Amino acid sequence: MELHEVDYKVPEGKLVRLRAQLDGDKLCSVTITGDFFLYPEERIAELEKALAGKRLEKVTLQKIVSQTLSNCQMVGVSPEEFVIALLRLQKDSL
Amino acid sequence: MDTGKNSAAMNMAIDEAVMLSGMPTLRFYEWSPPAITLGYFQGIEQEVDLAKCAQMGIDVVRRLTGGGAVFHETELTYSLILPEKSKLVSHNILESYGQICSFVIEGLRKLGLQAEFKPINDIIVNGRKISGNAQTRRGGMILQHGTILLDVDVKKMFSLLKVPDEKIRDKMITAAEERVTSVSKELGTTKGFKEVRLALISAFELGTTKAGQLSQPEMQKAKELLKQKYSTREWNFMR
Repeated sequence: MELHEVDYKVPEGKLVRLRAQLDGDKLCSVTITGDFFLYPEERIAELEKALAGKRLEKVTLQKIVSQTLSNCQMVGVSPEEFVIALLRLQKDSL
Repeated sequence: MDTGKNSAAMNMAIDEAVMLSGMPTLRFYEWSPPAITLGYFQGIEQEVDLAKCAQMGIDVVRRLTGGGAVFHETELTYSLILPEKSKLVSHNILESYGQICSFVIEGLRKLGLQAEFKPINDIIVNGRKISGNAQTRRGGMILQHGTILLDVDVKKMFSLLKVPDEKIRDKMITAAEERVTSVSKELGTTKGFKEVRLALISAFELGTTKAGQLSQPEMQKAKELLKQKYSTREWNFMR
């Protein structure tokens, strides 16, 4: 397993910081931090849980992120931007 | 209401207690000791130099609201608590930031400052940030709290926050000094907490309002939240 980190500044938006353990293209665990706004806030922990064990593959990630964050209001970030940040994890090993 | 100076954990506990009470409230407060508050989603160890804060006697607490880390020292802090169904604010969060900030802007203009809203959640004067604001919604209520910088020490602020690269710390301080301003810098005179508070009260005054204080149940709830949430490692080190 390898630790990967990504800092992704959403254009015209806020910063999303990811810290993840990867096993190949499998996301073992991820912590999502940053200065964005998301309501209800607790949903971010649910997203982290839903992403654990999944492959870093665009369609899979899009499905998980949009399902877990459905009915959430976001400011400075969006489901698409979370997916962009997640896909960058594979390129950024420490 | 003006709840005076409190620790960072108590200040956050009071905001949540008032929000839970469901009573529309405009609150002003200060911080003693000075404090750093973190946005709900921020990593405490990623953002804050905890050893430096401990050494300088600076409180550190996680907020109920998102947004970035803020150093609170010489400032006026407000919180506005309203029911979500209030006609004063939009259901759309981005729009509601602008609406609530327009009261703060009006207050600052009364002091002679050419304040403007800068989306997403800032207020600027002469192109520089003077106020940051953060909002959350739960239980049918909106809580927006924000700061109005009365004076600012960017060097001190950066000494307490982590920067991505130590080599560029000085550059970041210079850049931030150009980006941030304060009431005293803009007016060239010192305006205190009370003067700025009065200007904001007159801008916020709508219909029947009366000066008040925390109710007994609000105070009791705040003490509970202080002990069980905002003073705990579980909450502050959640991320």
